[in-house]
Amino acid sequence: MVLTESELDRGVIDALRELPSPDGRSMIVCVAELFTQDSPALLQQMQQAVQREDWLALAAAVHALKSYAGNVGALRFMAQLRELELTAKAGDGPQCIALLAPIPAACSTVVAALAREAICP
Amino acid sequence: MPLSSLPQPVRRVLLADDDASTRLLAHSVLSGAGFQVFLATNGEEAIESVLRDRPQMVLLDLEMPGVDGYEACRRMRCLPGGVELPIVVVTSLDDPGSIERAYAAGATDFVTKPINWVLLVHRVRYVLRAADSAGALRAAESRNQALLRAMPDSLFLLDGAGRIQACAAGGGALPGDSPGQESPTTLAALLPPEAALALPTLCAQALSSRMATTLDCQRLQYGVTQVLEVRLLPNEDGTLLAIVRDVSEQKFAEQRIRRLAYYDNLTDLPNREWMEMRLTSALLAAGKVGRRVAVLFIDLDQFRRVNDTLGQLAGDAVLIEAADRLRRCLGNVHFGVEDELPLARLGADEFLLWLPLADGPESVVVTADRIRQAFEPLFPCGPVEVKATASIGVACYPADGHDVPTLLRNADAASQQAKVAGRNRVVVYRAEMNNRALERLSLEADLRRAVASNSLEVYYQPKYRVDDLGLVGAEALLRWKHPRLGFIPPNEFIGLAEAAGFIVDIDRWVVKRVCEDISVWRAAGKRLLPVAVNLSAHEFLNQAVVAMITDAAAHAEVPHGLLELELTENALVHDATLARELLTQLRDAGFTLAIDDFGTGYSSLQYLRSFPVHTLKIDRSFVQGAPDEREACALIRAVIQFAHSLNLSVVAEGVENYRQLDLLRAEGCDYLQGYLMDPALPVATYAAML
Repeated sequence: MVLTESELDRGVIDALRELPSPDGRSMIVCVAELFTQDSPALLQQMQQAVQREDWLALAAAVHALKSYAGNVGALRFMAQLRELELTAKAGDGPQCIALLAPIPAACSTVVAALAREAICP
Repeated sequence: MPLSSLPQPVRRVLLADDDASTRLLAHSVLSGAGFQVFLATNGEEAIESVLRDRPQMVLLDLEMPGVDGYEACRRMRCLPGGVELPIVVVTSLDDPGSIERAYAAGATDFVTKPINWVLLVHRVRYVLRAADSAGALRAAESRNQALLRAMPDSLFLLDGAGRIQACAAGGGALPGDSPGQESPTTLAALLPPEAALALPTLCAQALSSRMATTLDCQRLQYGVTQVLEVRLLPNEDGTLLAIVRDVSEQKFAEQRIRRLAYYDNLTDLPNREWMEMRLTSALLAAGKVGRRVAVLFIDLDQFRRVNDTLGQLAGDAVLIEAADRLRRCLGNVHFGVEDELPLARLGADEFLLWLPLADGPESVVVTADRIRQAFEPLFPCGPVEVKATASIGVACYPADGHDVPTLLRNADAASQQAKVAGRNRVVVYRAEMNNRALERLSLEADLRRAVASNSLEVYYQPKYRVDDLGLVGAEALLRWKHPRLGFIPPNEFIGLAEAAGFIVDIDRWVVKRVCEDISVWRAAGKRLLPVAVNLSAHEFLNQAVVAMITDAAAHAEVPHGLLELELTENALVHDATLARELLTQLRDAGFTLAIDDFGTGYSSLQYLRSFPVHTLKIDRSFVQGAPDEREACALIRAVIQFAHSLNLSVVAEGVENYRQLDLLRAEGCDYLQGYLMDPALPVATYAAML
């Protein structure tokens, strides 16, 4: 599996470039837009769930973001989220907090990488 | 247009995922591949969409807020049509347990995230095709089930020993039975005893020959005979398929067809075809053992008169009663085949029966006479009783014929002879009868043809005034020129037509012909003189005679005064009251009436006085005797005087010489006809005289 420096799977990105979107733009643009729009809210849900110590809500939010990550080929980010999701489902609070800590930065990296792909064909 | 190029209907696919990017991608990819895509963001929306949009396939994310994929899947399965709906769950590869749970909830298949969008299109197509195949299979299966349920046959799978291994239709019961409470272990246990006995052999036979075998059996089912057909079809694996079918309808239909083909509906007696088969085999059997057979041809006397005067229903009643009397006479005589009397109805009023002949023909005459006597009592026929005696002809095998047609012809000839001899009697065939009867029969057939084909001819014998020999009219006389035999004397063929019962048709034909001739003469501007037409007693005693003659005259626009109707005395005295009434009607209608052949018959002067006739015709036999025979001369004188005293005119027939003419003139006879003046002339010759 070839990873770009921005940690996006080249195959997925190329496939997205080929797909038409409903409004005529490239699908990579649309998907990047969606990820950029929706990920902050999901990150916020994660933080709130941790504060409430609601580990299942944390797992659900992580799962949702993981799905987005999968669709843009952010495989390393996905792996991070998978670990966090399983931990949350297991109800291991301290470990969840530890694993959540690097997530926002990782998410920013993906957003940035997507932006580059969307702008520069 | 080949099926493959028909436009495919757009397939509907629902995707339920809370992830907007997945929805966007799925929509794009699947729409691009030609699917109609419905989207749902959670389980509730997905269920609503299934109800509303009727997707043919669902892609269902398992982890969604609210109603998750598992629950949505379970609920979808409970919706109408939900059992067959392909539901493909979308899950992460890292959660194998979720797949197990999804299957438990009713998922059809799964795809893993992250979704490979290119492969997804193929996957969706594959799942839809599989669903189509499954649907077609389900439809076929339910059709098959419905067929098996609707099939009136019972189907059993048997092992080589006839034990039932499975029942495919009929619920383990025979056709017509309600499915049994206890499943029988062998087919034999269900069948009637004799079929049960034969079954093992037939099973073995079918298996060893690898050919289907069939067994028919009968049983009483609710008091009705049921015919079952058991077909045994051997399978490759040593088992047999047994199809038990109720073929009662078919068998009874065959019997009905047989009855229609070989039985007479009216009397329920076998018909001529059946008789030919049965009698042929009876003769064959008798020939082998040197036995003799008597064939009795039974002909009802004057049956046609019953039909003519009382109508066909009355005739039918007589025939039914006649058949019953014959059956009673035969009692329990069976000859050859059980339950079948050696008796058949050949035609309208002809019956045939045959009997083994122990001694000479005399012994069968006793039997034949017993049958004849059975016909002597009057036949009840509605409110009246009619006479229908039997003329019976007997012919014997092998002396009078070796085959059915010969025996039949000879027995018929004998029965004709019985009729000629005065009816109501038995006559045994003798070789010399045949020629006469044959001749008569063929002549009768020729005459019928002649009437039908208009090949009889009317000749006109001119009639003159005795005073000045002026032409006053003619008598129409029938001539029949037989294609082979030449002219047949009228007394011969008229007698034949009377005996065969179609003299009435001939009379009608003559009246019509004469009217047409008169009409032609009028059109040609000829002098119009009356024509005398002879009416037979049969025609005259028919109530319709007045209408028949007036119709014919009206049709040809002939004034009634131009038609003179000649009747014999015998026709009048047979039923004097009716005769008087009919004569009065004819006279009142304007026709002239004459009594023909006067002096040869009953000659009741008393009757004559009361009949409203205009003319007497002196029979040719008296004229021929005159003037040498005193008696003839006296009679001529008496008739003329008597007629004149009643104001009747007199016609002398058969005048051949001047001495006769002188006598007639001296006695005051009014008119004459005969060879002295002219023979009967063809119509054209007579017309030239007018």
